[in-house]
Amino acid sequence: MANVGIHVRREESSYWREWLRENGSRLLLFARQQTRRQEDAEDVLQEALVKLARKVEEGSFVGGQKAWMPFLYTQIRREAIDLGRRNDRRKRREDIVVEDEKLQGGPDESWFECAGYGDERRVLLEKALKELPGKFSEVIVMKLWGGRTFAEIGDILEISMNTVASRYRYGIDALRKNLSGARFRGDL
Amino acid sequence: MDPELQKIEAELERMSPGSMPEGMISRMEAAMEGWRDVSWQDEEAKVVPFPRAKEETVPQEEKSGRYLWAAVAGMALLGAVAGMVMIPEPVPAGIASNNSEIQRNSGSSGVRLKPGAVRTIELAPKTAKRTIVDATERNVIIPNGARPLRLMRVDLVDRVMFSSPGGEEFHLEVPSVNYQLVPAPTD
Repeated sequence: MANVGIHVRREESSYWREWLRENGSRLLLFARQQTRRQEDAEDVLQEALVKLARKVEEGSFVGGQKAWMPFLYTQIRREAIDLGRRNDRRKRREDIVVEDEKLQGGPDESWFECAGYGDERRVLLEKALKELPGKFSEVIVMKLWGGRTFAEIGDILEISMNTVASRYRYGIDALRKNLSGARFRGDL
Repeated sequence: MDPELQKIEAELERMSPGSMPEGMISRMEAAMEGWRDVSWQDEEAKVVPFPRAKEETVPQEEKSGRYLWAAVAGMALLGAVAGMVMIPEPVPAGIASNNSEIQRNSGSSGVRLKPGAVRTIELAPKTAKRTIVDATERNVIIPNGARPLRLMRVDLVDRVMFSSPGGEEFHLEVPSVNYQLVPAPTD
């Protein structure tokens, strides 16, 4: 019986690995958007994944595999909010670190891989996305790279579908204006 | 949507999120496999809301009073037993001589009291108080894949005052040590 248990365990193990290879990058992007540091992103992602694994293995997860991603987006967001609250005490010290990083050009925490066209443009788009208020960028990240519908995003954020759609449009428009400004300044 | 916005949208879509490094996949996989190791760290235990949620707002006096009286009842029982066993009359000379005789005969160091030498008294608890004497921080523990936790040692003393029908007061002090795990902030 022990051998059977080990066998099943190994199968599950490789399954999670394959599943992470397929979906991990999208979740990591969302976790990065929700947090201020790469380490925090990894922490909140891990917390969310552990909760999923626990629910799945206990048989208490409702909705089947299709519901895993919406669950994880919701969970990552909650974990990030919790983490933000816990870190409030250290906020001042972190702000100093962030200021230092800005002065030094910031850490190399690129959210995206090279897209095949002018990397300068990608860098500007990424920078503009990072500078957007979180309520706009989270919608854009979930819609474009998470493949979520406005209705699903509304469920995750607990807001109406119309609000999601308007935040999405406003966010894209803000990116456009930012890029136009860059063109005007001669950055492009 | 505006064609210009659609263009930006298409441009963004062409960007691929950075892939998850193999090392990170392994860490995440290990954490997902090892959820049982951290299952004790439930959401409820992680964050203690303050002030508490509305459904838990039982009047504090009522809540603590219930526990206090349960503790007092326990202490009263303990006190009564202690009173029966540990409060002898002044030892009569006969007992002392008997005792030394018994010790001589048996080699035992125990004290035997004559029947009737022990009296029962009834004690009523008057006050009960728990005091934190000291709280010290100990090591930081990092369970596999979980957040760091700090071990706290809390030294407590429970003090109960009993009074007998005759007006005598008896003070009982019970020291205890409690260990608690609290989330440790990390940089």
